[in-house]
Amino acid sequence: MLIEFEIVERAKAGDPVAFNELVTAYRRRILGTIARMISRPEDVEDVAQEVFLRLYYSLEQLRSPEVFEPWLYRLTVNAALDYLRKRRRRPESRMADLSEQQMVTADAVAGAKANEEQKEKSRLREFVDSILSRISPEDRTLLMLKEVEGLSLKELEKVYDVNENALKVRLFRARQRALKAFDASREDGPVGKDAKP
Amino acid sequence: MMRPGDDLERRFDEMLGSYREAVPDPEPSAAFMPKLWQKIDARQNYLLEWKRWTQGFLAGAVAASLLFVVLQVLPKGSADFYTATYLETLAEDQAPERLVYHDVSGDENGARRGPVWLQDLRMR
Repeated sequence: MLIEFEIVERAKAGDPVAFNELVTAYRRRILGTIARMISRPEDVEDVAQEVFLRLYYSLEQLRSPEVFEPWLYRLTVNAALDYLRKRRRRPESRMADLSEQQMVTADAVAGAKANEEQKEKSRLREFVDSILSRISPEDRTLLMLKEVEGLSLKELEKVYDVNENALKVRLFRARQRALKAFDASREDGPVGKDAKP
Repeated sequence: MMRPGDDLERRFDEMLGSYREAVPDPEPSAAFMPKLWQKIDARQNYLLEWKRWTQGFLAGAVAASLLFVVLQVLPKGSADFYTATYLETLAEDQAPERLVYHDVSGDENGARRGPVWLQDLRMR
């Protein structure tokens, strides 16, 4: 826990100062999780604010401060899922969908000053986003929490409120689908740590 | 011996590991907290507005129900009109047109004279 239980209790009782402390303690972590889940830097703050907005109005339903973190992760997953589903209905052209010439032009306009390392990170982000956009938002968020955020099965059980076996099955299926998408995308060129996307 | 699937999984895991490094936790902007409180206030105002409308609607419904109940009880005040029989009402009625028909019934000698306007016609 990043904060004491007492602060959670005070925030739950409606203390705005305690709620501020709570947000300040967790916002960076939540911003990071959302940034990796949705791959859209420009929308990360909006989604994170939606998480804390939902937290503010649902905090009184929290049974005990011990389950605060899984509760917050659940709100994060739900807000990210809502965002991803909405984005699926409204597809936009992304860097991964653009031709080489268009990417060069976009790069020149958007990041003339960006160094090579940042460009590479940006390309990796676009590539991972393009792979994960081929699987469902549910699979995507689950994989992100397990493989990228590093949550344990026990923690995921609390977040998703399902038993371990069901979770393992869901994780296995999500991973298989992501691997299939990854394999299909590699036909365009090798990808990995030692190969640029 | 390594299977082709193992290599795919290794590369996939490497990619996700690199992704974690490529997307670090971003710093929140200075407007993060003010914007969050603005959104909280906006939602609160919306909820209050909705609550006020609901309460207004509820109060209107209660008032209408009360009015209906009162109307059901009060109409007893004008009940005289309805309690009189048809004959009683006719007997009390002094409307002049009835006099015309009264004349039709006959004069003092028992002769039928007919209505006044008919007598006028006959005289002509």
